[in-house]
Amino acid sequence: MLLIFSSALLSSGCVTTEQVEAIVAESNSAMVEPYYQKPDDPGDTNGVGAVEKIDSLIAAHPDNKVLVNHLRVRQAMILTIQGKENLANQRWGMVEAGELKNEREVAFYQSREALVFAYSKLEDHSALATNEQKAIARAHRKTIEDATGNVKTRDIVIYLQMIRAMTGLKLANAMDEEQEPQAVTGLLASSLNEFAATFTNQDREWVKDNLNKANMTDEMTIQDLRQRVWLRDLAKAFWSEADSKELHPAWSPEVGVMMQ
Amino acid sequence: MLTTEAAGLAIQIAKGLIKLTRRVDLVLAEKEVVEAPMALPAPNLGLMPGKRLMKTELTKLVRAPKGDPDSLGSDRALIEAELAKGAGSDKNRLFSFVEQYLPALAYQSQLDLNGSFVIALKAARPEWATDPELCVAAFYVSSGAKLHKKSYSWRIALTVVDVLSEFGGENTALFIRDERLQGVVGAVLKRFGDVDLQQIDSTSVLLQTVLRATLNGVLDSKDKLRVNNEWLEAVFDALAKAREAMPEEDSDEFLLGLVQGEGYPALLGALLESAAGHINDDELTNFRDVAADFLNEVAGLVKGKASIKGFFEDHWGDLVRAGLHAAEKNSVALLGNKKLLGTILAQVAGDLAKFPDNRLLSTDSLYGIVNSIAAVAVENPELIEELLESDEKWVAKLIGSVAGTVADKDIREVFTTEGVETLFIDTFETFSKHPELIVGDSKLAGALVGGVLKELAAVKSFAAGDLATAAVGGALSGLSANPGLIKFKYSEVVSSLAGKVAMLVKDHTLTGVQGQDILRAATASLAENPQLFLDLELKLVEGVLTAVTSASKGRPEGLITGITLIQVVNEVTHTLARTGRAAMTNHPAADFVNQLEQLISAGLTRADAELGRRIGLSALPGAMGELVAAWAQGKVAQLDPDNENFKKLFSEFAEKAAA
Repeated sequence: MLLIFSSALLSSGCVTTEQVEAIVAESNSAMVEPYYQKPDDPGDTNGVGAVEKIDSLIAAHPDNKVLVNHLRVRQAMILTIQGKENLANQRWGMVEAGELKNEREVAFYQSREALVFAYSKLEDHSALATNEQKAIARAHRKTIEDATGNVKTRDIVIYLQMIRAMTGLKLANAMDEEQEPQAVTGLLASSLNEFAATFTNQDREWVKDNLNKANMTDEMTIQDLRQRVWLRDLAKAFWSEADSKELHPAWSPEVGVMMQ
Repeated sequence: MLTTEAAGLAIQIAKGLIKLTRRVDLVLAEKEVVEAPMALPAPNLGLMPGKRLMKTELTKLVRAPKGDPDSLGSDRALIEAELAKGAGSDKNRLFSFVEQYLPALAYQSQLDLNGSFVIALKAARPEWATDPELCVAAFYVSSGAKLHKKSYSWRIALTVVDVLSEFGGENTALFIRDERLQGVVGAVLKRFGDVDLQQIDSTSVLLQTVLRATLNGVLDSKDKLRVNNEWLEAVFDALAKAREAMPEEDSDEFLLGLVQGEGYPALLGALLESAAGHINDDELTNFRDVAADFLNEVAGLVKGKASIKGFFEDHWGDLVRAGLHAAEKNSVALLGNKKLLGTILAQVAGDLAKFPDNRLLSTDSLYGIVNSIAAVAVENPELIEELLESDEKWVAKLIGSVAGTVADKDIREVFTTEGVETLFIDTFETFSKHPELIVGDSKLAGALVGGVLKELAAVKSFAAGDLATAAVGGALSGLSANPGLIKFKYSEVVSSLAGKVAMLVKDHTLTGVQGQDILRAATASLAENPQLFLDLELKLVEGVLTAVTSASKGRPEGLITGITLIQVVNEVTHTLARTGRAAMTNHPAADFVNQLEQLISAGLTRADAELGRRIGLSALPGAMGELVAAWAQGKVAQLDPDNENFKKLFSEFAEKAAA
């Protein structure tokens, strides 16, 4: 009897773990859905459900600092990606950085202002109208550069450098190419060159061979495909920006590999 | 049917299992959130058209035929004004007009990296693009390197240990038969169970936590321990009292530091060996209070000072042990005033900690320092408090003279630390028997030992160690016999003499053994008549040495060698010690040493000439002594060995000595 009792207890005991697993799945969906709609199930496109569930779980385990703070980062990223600047900043402010136990969360926490800026400002065509906003954008690029300096994991570096490259492109686009052509040219070159340098030669060769298609070999993972498509499309956007303004940035040899 | 006991145990086990599963669940939940990937799309990017393109299109717009009404309205003039600025036109202003009147142009440039990827995925793997979970997973960014020092497997193992120790603490009787030990083990396990082991992230923190729990558990249950050693119990009581007196947030850290110190095992060893019968119960209680007071006093001293804290943790056991030894030797006087012993120990600890060279001092040195001060306290109880509190920092000077000598760079090039400390230990042994020696001059130990060693270090003789032992040993004998010597700069005299002898040993005028013997003899002579030798500023003793050794060097047959040399030096210095007053009366001070050298040289020349006829080697020292005595009394007018009167006088002395 005792054995049966014990077994039942053990098998039903992992309630919190299951809750966390569900939150992780729901938050991942919430972060992607605004950009990629699931075909049959619109789901929680605002991520409200995931954010509220995180709040409930944190309230149930306030003393487990690591659990609480990692969930807070996840919450903050949902709101960041959805462009909810004020709510995102509020959640970032509640994170205790000393309790973060993986590279990604530490780097994201360090880059939080740059991430909130990117997801709330980059889509707006007329953002960065003032010199102050341009200065903020430059500062965010520096913040991401510093944060990725300590990161060893490749896909975290690529993600953050992608944000940095897009911020650079946005900044160059907002600057007056007639009044400061050299500054615009230099920024275009450094932004794309630095992003391209985070990839391997194999990645760059793929871009060169797939400028107008997307061949997926058996060796490639789905993340490889995504990262290479990001590289390709960003590179084309940079080249187009330079061409449309009749500028000639000094592209690096790595970028040169990709250009036909 | 279950008995009541068995049912109770079953419930306890069930509770334990529930506790375990809940805690493991939390660890796994944390693992999940830390290690799970995050699906992260790229932001969308909106780009303004180029400035030239905007100006071109806006120019076309304003040049196009006006409608009725004008679709541009009042903005026409504004647009034209902006265009008229040429390169100076404002890009954002231009965009605002484009946005309003040419929206297709304004928003034509958009970068959607996620859309591009989905299109690429559909083209490459259409079946994947319809799988919602795969589409989310396609955007995964991994968690990266973990920043925990220990893995989650470790955490789960600790969780199991945590629960087991709590279970054991509540049910100790199930595991331990000995009732006495049940209490101890139960207290330890309970302390263990109070700690949240799951949150511990490193081995060193875990070990500290285990040690702290174990110590506190033992202290909690020391009454149950019933250790058969009153001294051990006294220390445990002292630790417990010290812990109670401290603020709760500091007590664990303080105790942990104490028992991790290097001196702690030696203290316990000494206590276990102590013959408790030497001291009665009241004095044992006093000793316990001394230890507790001492710990309390230095707890405040060390708080927040990492360097002092580390030193104290290593040496508190040594200091308490020294106090114990002093108490055993001087129990009534010392423990009667228990504050005094505690004050002595605390002051020594505090002053020791301030010296950066204190790390070079061994346990035995600390022992010697405490013993010496304790001896002063016993002999001079009315004086010791004044000494401890004096502005002249009496204790600090004592310690400083020792620490400074041990750390001296020149000395350490020649002497080992162990050799230096052996000399100090011997010195402190003398001081503990003659505490008056350091009452007047707390730096005497350093002056004597340090002075001798520095002189010898400068010479760098191969026999330095033995010479140092002889010089210091001889000086200590002299001091013991005549403590008044400290008034006469005795240490400086002995040091200078040691250097002189070392030079003679180094250039092979003397052997090492001869040097040692001469030092012992000379220091003893100095002790007989210090005023004489110190009035003449040491030149007298060195003069005797120089005269005897120079004279013997000039003789290839080796007239004055071996034991004869030492005997001659001995005899001459002893004679001078007896007759020095007369010598100084009859001979001018300025030429005293020079004349003495001439006298000895002349005497040895005569001895050389008459050896085997009027004088044998065995009689030579005596003859030289008689000669010196006569000279001191003014009876030797000529110092020429070929002078007839000198020859006659020497022959008389030789016959007298041989008789």
